[in-house]
Amino acid sequence: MEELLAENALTISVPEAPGSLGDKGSLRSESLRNQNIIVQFAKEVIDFSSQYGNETSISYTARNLAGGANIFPSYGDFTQACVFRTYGPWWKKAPSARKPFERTPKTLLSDDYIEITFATKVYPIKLDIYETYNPGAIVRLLACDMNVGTDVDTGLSVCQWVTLWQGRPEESTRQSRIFSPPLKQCPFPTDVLRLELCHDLAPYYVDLDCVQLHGTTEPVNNFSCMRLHSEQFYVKDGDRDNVMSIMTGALKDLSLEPNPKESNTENQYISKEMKQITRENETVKEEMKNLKQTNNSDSVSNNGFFDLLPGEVIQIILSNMDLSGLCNMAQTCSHLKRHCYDSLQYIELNLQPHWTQVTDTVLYSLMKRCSHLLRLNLSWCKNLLLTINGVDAFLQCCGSELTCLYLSTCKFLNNDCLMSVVQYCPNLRELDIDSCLQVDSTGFSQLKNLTMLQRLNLYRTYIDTMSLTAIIRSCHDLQHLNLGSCTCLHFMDDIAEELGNNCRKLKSLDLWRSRSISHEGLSHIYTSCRDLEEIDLGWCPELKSRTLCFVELTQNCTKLKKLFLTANRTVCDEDLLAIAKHCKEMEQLDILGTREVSAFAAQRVLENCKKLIMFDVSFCSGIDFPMMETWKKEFPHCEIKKSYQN
Amino acid sequence: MQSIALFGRQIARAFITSIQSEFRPNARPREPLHLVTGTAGFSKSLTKNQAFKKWTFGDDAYFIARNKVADVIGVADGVGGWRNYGIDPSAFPRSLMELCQRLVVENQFKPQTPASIIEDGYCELLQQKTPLIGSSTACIVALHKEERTIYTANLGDSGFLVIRDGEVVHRSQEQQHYFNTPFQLAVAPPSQEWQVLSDSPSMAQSTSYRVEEGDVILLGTDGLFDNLSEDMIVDYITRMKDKREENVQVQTTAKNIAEKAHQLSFDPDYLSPFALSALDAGIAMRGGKPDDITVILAKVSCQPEET
Repeated sequence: MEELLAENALTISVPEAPGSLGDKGSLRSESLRNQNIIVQFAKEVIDFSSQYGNETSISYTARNLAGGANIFPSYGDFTQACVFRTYGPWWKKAPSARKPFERTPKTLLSDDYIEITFATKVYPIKLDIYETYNPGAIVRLLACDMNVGTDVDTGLSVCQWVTLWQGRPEESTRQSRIFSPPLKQCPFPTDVLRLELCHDLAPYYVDLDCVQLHGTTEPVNNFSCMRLHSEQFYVKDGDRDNVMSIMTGALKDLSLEPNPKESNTENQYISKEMKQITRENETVKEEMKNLKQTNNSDSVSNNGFFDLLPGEVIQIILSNMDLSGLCNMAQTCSHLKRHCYDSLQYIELNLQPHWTQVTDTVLYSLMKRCSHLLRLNLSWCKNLLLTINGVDAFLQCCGSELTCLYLSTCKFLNNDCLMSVVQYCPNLRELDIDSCLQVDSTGFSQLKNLTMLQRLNLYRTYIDTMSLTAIIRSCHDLQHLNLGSCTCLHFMDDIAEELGNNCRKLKSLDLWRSRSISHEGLSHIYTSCRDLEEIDLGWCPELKSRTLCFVELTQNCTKLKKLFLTANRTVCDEDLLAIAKHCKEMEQLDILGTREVSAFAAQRVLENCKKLIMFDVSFCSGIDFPMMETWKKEFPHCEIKKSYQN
Repeated sequence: MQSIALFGRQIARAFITSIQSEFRPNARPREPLHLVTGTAGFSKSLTKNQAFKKWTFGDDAYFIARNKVADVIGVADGVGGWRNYGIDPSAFPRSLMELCQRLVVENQFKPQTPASIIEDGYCELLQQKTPLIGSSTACIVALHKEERTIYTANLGDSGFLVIRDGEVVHRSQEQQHYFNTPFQLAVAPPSQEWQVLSDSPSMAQSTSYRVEEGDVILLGTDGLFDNLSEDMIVDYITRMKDKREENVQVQTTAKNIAEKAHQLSFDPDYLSPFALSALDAGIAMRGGKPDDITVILAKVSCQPEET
């Protein structure tokens, strides 16, 4: 026990709670009496979806979430914080934004996640999240049990994720805070937690300082500190007004019945229904039976109004339901089941919000319905739940028509898996494999066979110059390319030259934190890709304003809507005046961290770029806060950002 | 008479000094070595509005950081010339030292390659959102506790001495481009990138040296070494013999050394080490060299520290 304790963990004895002895067995109350609360900071960050900082850096990187508080109670934009890549609604409005999926539940809105480990396994009682800049983005907390056991069929170890809390994003209070949401009782001791964030309401980057976990080594009997909030199980949805919502609502009520036994295990509505998918042929749950019985007794021979409705209308009604609703609906009666299993209902399949439940079995059961699948999102799915075999089989069966495949941060994606993607999905137009760190040049070199690609996201992967060159040479239709934080691309100028020669349709290009792109490389882009609408040149230190590369970029690419020149210390008034003169379509502009611009030039941008909705002038010493206030009144349509360290 | 004049000058020039000692209880069975440290220093400039900042003396900055494998101390001396461009010369060395400290505390370094701390610290400096401009020298000494060895890296004219039994047994070598112009790390504004002297962090000179219990390591900026000869420094350190209250002694000695150096730096007739090297360079001058002074004194100790 003592060995297990983290260095920074301290123990507090819990006074015995009165009344806890009442109906409990003597053995358990005995253990409660000896209960210690262990308080510990995160030991290590093991996984995350994106980060602001450089991969090898200690500034603004995800790993800063480990350890104790460095910033709190200060409030502001500090380097010691854990910061994610994006914030606010801006990224979803940019030309490179992905088309949202149909059937995405409105309540599951996480944009980013981070997973942390602790030194000691505990039953969580309380989690303190130190939010030191723009708090309010955390929407979900999950705990992982790595010791569930092994799968009977595959022999592989499996894990289980349980939601401890779920909520909606809040408006930032512009104060640092310790956020301790009420946690649901966790049925197992855990040392792996996951935080999910939604950046929609964040006015600027969200900074997290540290995470402190309070927990006990034995399960707590009276879990008084955590009352069960019904809303944390599932869905407040007042906004759905079709006939079906009444039925799904009824179903929801059924599954929300406070069942103390179940609250200990998988209480989430969604997990239930996913299980039900897999148990199609088994006995259906009791409440489902009840519902069927009531349905049947009402209309044994006919299905009431549903028989009167033409099939197409039912299909249209069903198309408004989210995936969980659709799966549930299939359980109501055979008539609706037939409609719910129609492959036209599965043109788009977004499994990212359901990543905790996506297993091989789930994919197998969905396979039959997805023969016309066009878009598939498997982002965030876990390799301990989902295996290459499952994905492989699914793609083999449903991949032939697939045009969009999103596999962000999928650990199961290795070279072999990427090869089967290429083999089974020859029609892919969009492929996201950002943060897939298991793939190397062997896998990437296969991508050149996907000649129809229009969109390729390689953010934070180990793509190398050779493979990328081959891809660019064979994919002439590329419109969106994300090469942000790719540490193995040492010759970005060569890449840029290839892009200029082969991909003249390029609309968006993300070169965030490229250390090698220089004005020569950039010149190939702006002379050839005149349709460019978005380019991210943030943290590219080799681009120098004195070479006039920024001026020429704006002169040549007048369609630019988003231009990020973050932390380019050389950006000067001349560049801003060129933007004001040529880029009338500009919507988002970031010139953070330059000392060379004056308020005058920035004002010219605001005056001339009428469509500007976001302008980041943080850490520009030439622009002061009083100036900002004047501009805010004068240009109310534009959000002007100026970050600060207190 | 002379001392009265000196006193007057000292009044005229505001100075700051700080006292700092750090301890860490060490309860390992084999009792590896660690450093008992004391720091002292003076700022040469008037500090009217400038609030006292942690870990700085004027344009000098320092840090003391410890992790499981090593105790690390370091100093950086900011180049004052930036003041003419309206840039605070202390910001650069201060940020550099803060980042080096974080690298040590967060175990992002190898004690055996202290030059990489300077290099990584400099890279991190460029990763800040705030555009930082300035230049500084840097000197880092890392004691590997188990190996009982110090690993050092030096860039520029700050330096260190290792003193054993009243003798200097190991020292840093000064790196200068020419007289009074040390090697330095720099970040220049874009318009002056070509004019500013900037050396690569990889130019840092690295050494390693096995130390014993009782050795004393003195780390200082040029403000110290330009005004106080080695003999005088050694003299101060040999007086520190008593084993009791080690930390208090180390701190007092550091303070005495810094005060003496500060006093001599304003003596117009004193033939300082700086004046001597000026003579070597063909420049006739006398007296001390008023400068920011930082002294970190670290005694290599084995006994568990009293708290």
